[in-house]
Amino acid sequence: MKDLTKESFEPLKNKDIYQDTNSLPLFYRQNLAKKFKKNKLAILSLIILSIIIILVILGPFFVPFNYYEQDYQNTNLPPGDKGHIFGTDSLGRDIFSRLWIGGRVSLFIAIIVTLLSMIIGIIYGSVAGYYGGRVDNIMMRIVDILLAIPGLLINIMLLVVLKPGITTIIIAFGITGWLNMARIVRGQVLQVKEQEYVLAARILGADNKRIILKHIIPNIIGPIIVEMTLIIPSAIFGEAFLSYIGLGVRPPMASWGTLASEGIKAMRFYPFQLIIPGVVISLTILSFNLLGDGLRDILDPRLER
Amino acid sequence: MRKRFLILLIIAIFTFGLIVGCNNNGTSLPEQAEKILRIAQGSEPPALDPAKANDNISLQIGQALFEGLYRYHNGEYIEGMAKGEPEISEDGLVWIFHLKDSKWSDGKPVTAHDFEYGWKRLVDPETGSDSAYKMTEYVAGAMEFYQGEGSRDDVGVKAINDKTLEVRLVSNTPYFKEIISFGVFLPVREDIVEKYGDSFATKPENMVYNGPWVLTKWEHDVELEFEPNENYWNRAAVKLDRVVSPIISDYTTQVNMFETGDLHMTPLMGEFAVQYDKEGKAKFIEDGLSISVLLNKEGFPPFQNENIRKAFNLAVDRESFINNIYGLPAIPATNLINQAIRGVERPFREEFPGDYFSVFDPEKAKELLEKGLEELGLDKLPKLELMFLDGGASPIFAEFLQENYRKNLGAEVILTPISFEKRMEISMTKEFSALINPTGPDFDDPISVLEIWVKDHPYNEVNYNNLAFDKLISQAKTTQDIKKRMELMADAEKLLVEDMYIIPIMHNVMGYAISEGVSNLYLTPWCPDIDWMFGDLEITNN
Amino acid sequence: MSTYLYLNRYKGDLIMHRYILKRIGISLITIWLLITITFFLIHIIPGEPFSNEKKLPPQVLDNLNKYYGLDKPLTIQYLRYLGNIAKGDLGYSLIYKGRTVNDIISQAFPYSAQLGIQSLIVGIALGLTLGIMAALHRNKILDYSIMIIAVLGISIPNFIIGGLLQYFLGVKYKLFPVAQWKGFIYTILPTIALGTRILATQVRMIRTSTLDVLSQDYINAAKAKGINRMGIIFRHILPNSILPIITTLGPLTATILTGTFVVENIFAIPGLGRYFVQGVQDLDYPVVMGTTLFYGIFLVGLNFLVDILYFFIDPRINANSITGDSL
Repeated sequence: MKDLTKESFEPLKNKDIYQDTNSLPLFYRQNLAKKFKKNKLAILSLIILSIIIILVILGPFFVPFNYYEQDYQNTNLPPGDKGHIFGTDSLGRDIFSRLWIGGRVSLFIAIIVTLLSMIIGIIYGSVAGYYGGRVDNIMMRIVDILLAIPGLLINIMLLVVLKPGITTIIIAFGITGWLNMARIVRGQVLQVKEQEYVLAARILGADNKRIILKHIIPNIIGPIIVEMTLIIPSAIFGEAFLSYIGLGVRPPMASWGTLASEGIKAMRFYPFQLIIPGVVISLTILSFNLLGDGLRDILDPRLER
Repeated sequence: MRKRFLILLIIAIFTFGLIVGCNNNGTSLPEQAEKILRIAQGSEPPALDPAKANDNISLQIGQALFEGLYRYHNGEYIEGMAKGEPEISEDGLVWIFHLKDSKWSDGKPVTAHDFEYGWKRLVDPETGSDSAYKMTEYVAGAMEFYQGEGSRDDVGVKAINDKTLEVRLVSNTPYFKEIISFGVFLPVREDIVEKYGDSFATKPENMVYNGPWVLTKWEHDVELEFEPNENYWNRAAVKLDRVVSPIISDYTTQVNMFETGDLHMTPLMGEFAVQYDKEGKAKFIEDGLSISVLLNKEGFPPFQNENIRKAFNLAVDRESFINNIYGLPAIPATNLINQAIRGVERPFREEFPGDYFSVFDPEKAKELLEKGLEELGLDKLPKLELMFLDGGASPIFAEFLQENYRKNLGAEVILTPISFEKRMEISMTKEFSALINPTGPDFDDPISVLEIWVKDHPYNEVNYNNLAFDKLISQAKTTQDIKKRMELMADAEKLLVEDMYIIPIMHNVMGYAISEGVSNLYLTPWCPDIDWMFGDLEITNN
Repeated sequence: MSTYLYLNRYKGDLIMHRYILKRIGISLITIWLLITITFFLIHIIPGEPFSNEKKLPPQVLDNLNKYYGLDKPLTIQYLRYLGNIAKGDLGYSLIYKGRTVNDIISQAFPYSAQLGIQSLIVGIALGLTLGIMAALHRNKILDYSIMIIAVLGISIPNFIIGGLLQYFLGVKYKLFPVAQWKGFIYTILPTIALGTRILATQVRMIRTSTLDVLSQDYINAAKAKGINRMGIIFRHILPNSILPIITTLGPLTATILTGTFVVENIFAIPGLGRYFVQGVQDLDYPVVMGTTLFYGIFLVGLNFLVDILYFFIDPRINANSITGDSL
């Protein structure tokens, strides 16, 4: 028998020999799709969200009005009158096109905030979880401390200090949004990094970056997606709240939040001006929540909230 | 063991809830025999100290709690603490006021010394009053003292004896009586100010009153309560037993409370005004307030060009705003002096119509803009920042202007809402490009609108500088002949409008509704704004 | 035998002490960080708000100077600010002349606290009841309808709920006072407006935890022993719900807090939330900073208490979990 020397256990020099395994095995993905199809509420939410997103993208092109043009002869028209599908507001602007333009702003904010939170959270969380020990301890203490600071107060302070606008809102939400994500990712990484296939990859010569990117993250994508479906509605909610207290986007731009708070003022005489944006906001948040619930059930039955 | 602890905890939580829930049940309903008037205030009065009040609400309440020499009531200036008309010297520079015998709420007599102290305190630089300019303009020595150059003793206000006050003026000011009816020219008790220092007038017990009412409760941001001042010289004129003033910042809530009978009066704006008017329940009164847009050539250099300023004037579709959006029957303005202000015999606006330009002319506006840009050698206007005070109808008007300028001039306008505090700051720094400016006169004379636009006036926010204008104003200030004065001021107004640093938008009309059975309650075009001090109420049993 | 027990208990005490000390440490660092963030946020505003060029009334400037030492370098200003806060002094309002931020908080906070506690109690009590009911009738109509209410509750922004309640129940049908805060009847609409969201989150959570309990073997054993439904609810389900409720107390309080900003504005309640929003709109920096600090410290303190409570109730506690704020 040949002697096993220390060299036998060195990582392979030639990295080309090492082949990427696909992140998720095929049977697993098929299984997921099957499970998802069974969850009727999640399917329904997905359909509703798709419709809303299509309308947000294309809606403004369906009507001959734009979101900022004011028509003083036709203020506060009820829905359906003179070609205005959802009527007009107090300045005679077409609510239909304002609703979808506003949706672009609200969803844009929500999606960018979510992406930012995801990127920062994943990097931070996986570094902490992967290296463990002291690094993990310090990094997570920082997260704990930041989490204990009421995020919304910091958001408002930031908006007071900086000029209100889409960028500021994104920065404000982004600053606090990644914390939970980082915690979740870190917890998952701690579990996954002990798995055999990580060890196998290491033996095959993969470096840390490669292991994190190619092996760990693909395997914890479930909880990440679930957390994302939670950040999106909370960002939409947060934007609406800020608009209500007067820190939303500036006119002539509109967002769902500004439309709803304008609607509150007009509720008495023109309830449709509140009901239309109110229903769309609620429907969107509702769908994201239900979708999140559904995904959670499918992707990670152990996760409990 | 653990389970029992948990059950106890649950019980404790619920009991606590019940206690919290119930201890508020004790509020008793007001007795019906009392005449209690309920009118809301839009915000907490920031300062009831007469020297520090410079907002509508503080000044309004000041008129209930204190009384100056004269007061504005039901369309005229009536006697307050002064007995009869003042004695005026030949040259009009020395005014002597005689005081009535009257007492403060603590029983001490109101003396001319209280006036001397109160007025000097107004211009004392230590006080830091925002309203000092109302006195420094007119009273001899006041400006010097305020700017730290003169002494307190040289201020031309002096108590000759307990009942006689002598005031020396900078120049002959025929309308001085109207000026001092403004709510900062009040008597103040030196001993009380010294006793309470910084906390003077911050609590009902930290002040004494010489007006028709005393403050009995001041629960911050909740409610103010007033009761008649038994020592007031004209106690019989005070008919109500109590006035309750809840602080309701949301305007819609005020209307809602009016409808449920919780308030006796509500302002009406927008759609509410339209609906109430249809039902015949709305009242309208010519307001002192005028809306204009200030153009600052330093903040936005293209405004140095007259044609561009005029383009920004003619591009505003005032009538559409008033008829279709504003809801109140305001008057589109082609001039700066409000229809509520008196002229020689009739309202100034009837005597001098002042149609200085056509209300709306988008084609001409476009033409003027192109001409102006050519003169400046510009292809296109830079972005313009338009500031406006947040709240009320301002935001919607700002959006309206933004779209008018985009549509009619192709100008890009950025809107910046500002707070009241920021607005005060801009008065000092003059850092802005364009500003929506709702203002009203302090008293019933066109001079109150015009005088601030003379060179170097602290409130000349656009740095307007026209020698001819300044000359007309100083002539108007000293001319005794009222007809001549009005003509001078009409000429001055014309100059001011033609230079177009101030774009007149509209003269406001206030809408309001009052419950049946309430009488002698007025909205006034200027301070006190809501004149409830001598109101009355029929008691209905419901 | 007895020595062993003693040792074990001693060890437990040691763990507890270390745990508490660690929590105190983290809380203090958090508070310090919060103070530092608010201080520097205000100071990055160019030329504002306390710059010397601005002509503030001398009295206001005096107060500001006294408080911040504006003429001193930034580090001195910062230390001074820390000192003031350590003394519990939050400075003067810029808008309300002659009133300190401490004044405003001590006057306004009780309203917010009452509103918050009432909503919390109503939300939790109803959430508990409905959550258990939903779980007991799993996948039946009752379950579905309760869950629909719950999902709707977290999907509608509370200013819309508040506005609708005020208009329909207050103005249109005149069942409740439209606004203000002058007795129990006045508190009902705001409490509902604020409590709905709490209720909704609780229902979902309690339902899950109840289903968890119901699937345990001891429930079957209890049923077999003939213990009736009420007995099971009171002996097994309720006690098991306490833990998740306590866990969410921190985030819930944060939710309530932001909720009060909106609800107090709609119903003209003179609470701290309304001052905060007003302060934001008026750029009354001392009030905004003071309120932020007050609420921040309040929440950190509450989280600390929750952690300690949690430790006593559930010794298996994972020392890494700290309840945080969720937007």
